[in-house]
Amino acid sequence: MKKLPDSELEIMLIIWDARGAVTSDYIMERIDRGWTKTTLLNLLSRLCERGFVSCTKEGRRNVYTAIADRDEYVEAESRSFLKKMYRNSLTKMVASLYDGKSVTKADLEELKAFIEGAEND
Amino acid sequence: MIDILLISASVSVVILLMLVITPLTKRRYGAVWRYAVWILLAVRLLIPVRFEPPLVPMLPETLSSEVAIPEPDTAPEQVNPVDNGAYTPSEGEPHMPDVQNDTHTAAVNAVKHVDWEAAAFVIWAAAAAAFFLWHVVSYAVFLRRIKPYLVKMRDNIYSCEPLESPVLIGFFRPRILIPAQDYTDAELEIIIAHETAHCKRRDMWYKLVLLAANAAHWFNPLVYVMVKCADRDLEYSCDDMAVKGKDADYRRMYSKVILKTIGRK
Repeated sequence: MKKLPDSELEIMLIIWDARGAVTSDYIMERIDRGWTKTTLLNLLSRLCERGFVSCTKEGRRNVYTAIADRDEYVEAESRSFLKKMYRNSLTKMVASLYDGKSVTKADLEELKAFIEGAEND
Repeated sequence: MIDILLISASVSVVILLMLVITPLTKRRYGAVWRYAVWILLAVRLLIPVRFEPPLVPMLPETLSSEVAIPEPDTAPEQVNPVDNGAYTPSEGEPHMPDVQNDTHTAAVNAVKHVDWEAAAFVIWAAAAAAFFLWHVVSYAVFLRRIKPYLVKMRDNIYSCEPLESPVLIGFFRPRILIPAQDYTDAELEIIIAHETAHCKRRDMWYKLVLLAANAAHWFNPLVYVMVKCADRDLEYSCDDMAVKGKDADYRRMYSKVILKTIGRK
């Protein structure tokens, strides 16, 4: 499953949330960016080409339905990209709730004892 | 250029001292003052001014008048500048051959000396800039990547599905990001307490200063060690803050949540 660029991802999240077929107007209402209708339609057709959504005609309008599995995508995102970021550089820039790789078992024991044992501070 | 190396060396001594002391101090109180020491060292590493005494030992009065102690910086000034063109064998003046040779050697030395120092500086600056930029850029990429997933919960707290663990981001508008895990309400409060402690202390800036120091001293492995230790002490002292004055039940729950989060990785 290939990684989507930001703009397409935002659209997909809306479509996934809708849990059904949606029109481009529906998406337009929920998008925060200043896109034109044309831009949106271009992005939607790209998503179609990637196999993330199916595009069918209902009367005069196009409706879009999600084909790709949301959980699968988010899971892949979390595993590959974000995990890599953490390992490489992120921990130097953000304050996260511990960076798993640098905490040893001994550290954990110590931490537990420290937190629970600390009285009368 | 020499300054940076000497500063790096002198701070390295302190880092080594800290590493030796660390296991000896009780971690409970240790983390908080170590947290302070690391940032002082990082700031020191960023100031390009040498305060340390010269490496040459002070000679007794009787000898110092006879021995000239050359300062590294003044050495180039003692030789002739090279800008008056290549060495020409004669300027029409009756020079002694020895003097001309000395001038020539001195001029060549001057060229070598200046070029080498400039080259070293350029290499250092390029590597430092690359180091720093790489981290900043990947941070920016990370922010862009998670932006579509951000859903506001309350105040400056957002849920962000694909994250592995809670994170504090942002320097001017700090935000706490919570991954989509099954946290109970109590657990969530603890996580938020921890991240809020980071936030209050402006730990993002703390880490940025450390990053800058690391970038400037990219050649010194001990500085990398220092950053790692500082990160750890940052977290521990943060826990210290978060459980201050809280009862045993809270602390037990707190440690459970922290360990659960760490274990998840």
